[in-house]
Amino acid sequence: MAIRKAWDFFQLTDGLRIPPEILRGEARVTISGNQRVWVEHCRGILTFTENALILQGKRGKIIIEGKRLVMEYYTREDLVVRGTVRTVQYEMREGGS
Amino acid sequence: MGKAVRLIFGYLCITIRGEHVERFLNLCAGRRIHLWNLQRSGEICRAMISLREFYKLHTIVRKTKVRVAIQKRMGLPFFVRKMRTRWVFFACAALAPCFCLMTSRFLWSVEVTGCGKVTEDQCLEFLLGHEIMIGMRLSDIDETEMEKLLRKEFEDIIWTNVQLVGTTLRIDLKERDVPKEKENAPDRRGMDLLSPFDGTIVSMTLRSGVPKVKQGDYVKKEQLLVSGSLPIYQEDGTIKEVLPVTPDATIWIERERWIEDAFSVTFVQKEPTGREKNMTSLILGGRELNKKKGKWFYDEVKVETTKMPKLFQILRIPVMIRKTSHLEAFPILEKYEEEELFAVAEEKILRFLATLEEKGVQIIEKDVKISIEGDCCQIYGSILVRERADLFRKTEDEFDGIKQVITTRK
Repeated sequence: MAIRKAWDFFQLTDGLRIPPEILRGEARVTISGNQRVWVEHCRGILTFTENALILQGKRGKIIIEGKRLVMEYYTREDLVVRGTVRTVQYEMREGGS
Repeated sequence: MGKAVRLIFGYLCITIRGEHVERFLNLCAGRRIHLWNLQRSGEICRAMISLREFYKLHTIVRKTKVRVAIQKRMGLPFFVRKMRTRWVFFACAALAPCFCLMTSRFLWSVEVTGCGKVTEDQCLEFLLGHEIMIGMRLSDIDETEMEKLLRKEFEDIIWTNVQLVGTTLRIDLKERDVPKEKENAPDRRGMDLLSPFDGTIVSMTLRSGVPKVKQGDYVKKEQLLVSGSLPIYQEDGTIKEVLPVTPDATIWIERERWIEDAFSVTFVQKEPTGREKNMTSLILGGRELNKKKGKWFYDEVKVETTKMPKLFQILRIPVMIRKTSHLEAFPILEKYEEEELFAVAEEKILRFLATLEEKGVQIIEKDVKISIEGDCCQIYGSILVRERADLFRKTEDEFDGIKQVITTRK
């Protein structure tokens, strides 16, 4: 049954040419060098400091660490972080896949 | 584009402080309140927000219990509010384009290039004669017609180009290199060539007419040199008739001219003291505005420059800017040194000789003396010159009665 479900999902995304992470409601993180991080579909900001930004994703937290982090903009759809990015981590919720 | 829109509608730089700053940001994003340039420093979070969206923050602030403070206001609404007291400036700024638009429909300057025999003044006079003057409408000027009229008026002009560049009427002229033979040369038929002064004839070339003198003769003023009446004799020696001819001869008469001049050995020199005052004034419609009356210094030297400003390189406007520098000077009575005196005197003599040469006089010899007597320097002496006889006049001669007969017979 699970295989059938997965196959249907694949058919749908492939047929409509929609990125699968959008249908799944997962965050999409695009990193340009170590200066810019573009995060789409995050569920909110958990912590925002000069050196770290913790965002809430569907299945866990996205932790962006660096120096002098500045949010270029923040909207319901996406946000852009600028600064010297050191690490981008995913902290999965227990039981998440 | 986005930045321009933000500037037009105005935006704010705000600081957010409190325990639930992140919640505040999330709620803003959830309610589609756009925040940008978010920066965290310690407990304070700085962000930019548009003026319109700032008013929507009220409920979010109450809910999250953060404190929002405006740090900086930017954009047009704030600028206008700030500049409300300077309404004159804004009125002028609004009127300036109207003024430019209005003045660009009129003629404000005339430029003439390529002048030679036809002078710029003659051209301007011609324009005035055809009612083309500063301040008239550009639409009333017909360039093609004016080109035709210019060529018709001045025979020496072989090509013209009249064009309007902005508010300037530019006239380019091209004159003929070879002078046109004068059609309206004075008719000297029957006239006589006389001596304009006393002197000795040193050279004589006769082309037409009856010579009455010869080379080497001493002639008096108004003495007949070449007659314009040619008698035709009969076989018995009596005059049959008298034909009027044009006397044409090149006769050089040598004579002495006297030169006498005197000038003072002292002169007033203005010594600048170094003090200077500058003034800028506007000239509007021939009237000088902001002109300070009265003398600024006891004695002064004035340096003036007048300029007509141009808008966008081509549009001249009917305003002129005059810059005047008043330099304080102290008058000192100076005395020429002997060498200087001779130099000044020499210059005066040379200037006199140059004016003679300009008139076509040949200078053969000069014997001029310079002497200093007391406070006066005197120049005196004689110059031997050769001048051309060019006095034409109708004179009464022995054939007058016969001429009358011929004229009535015709």
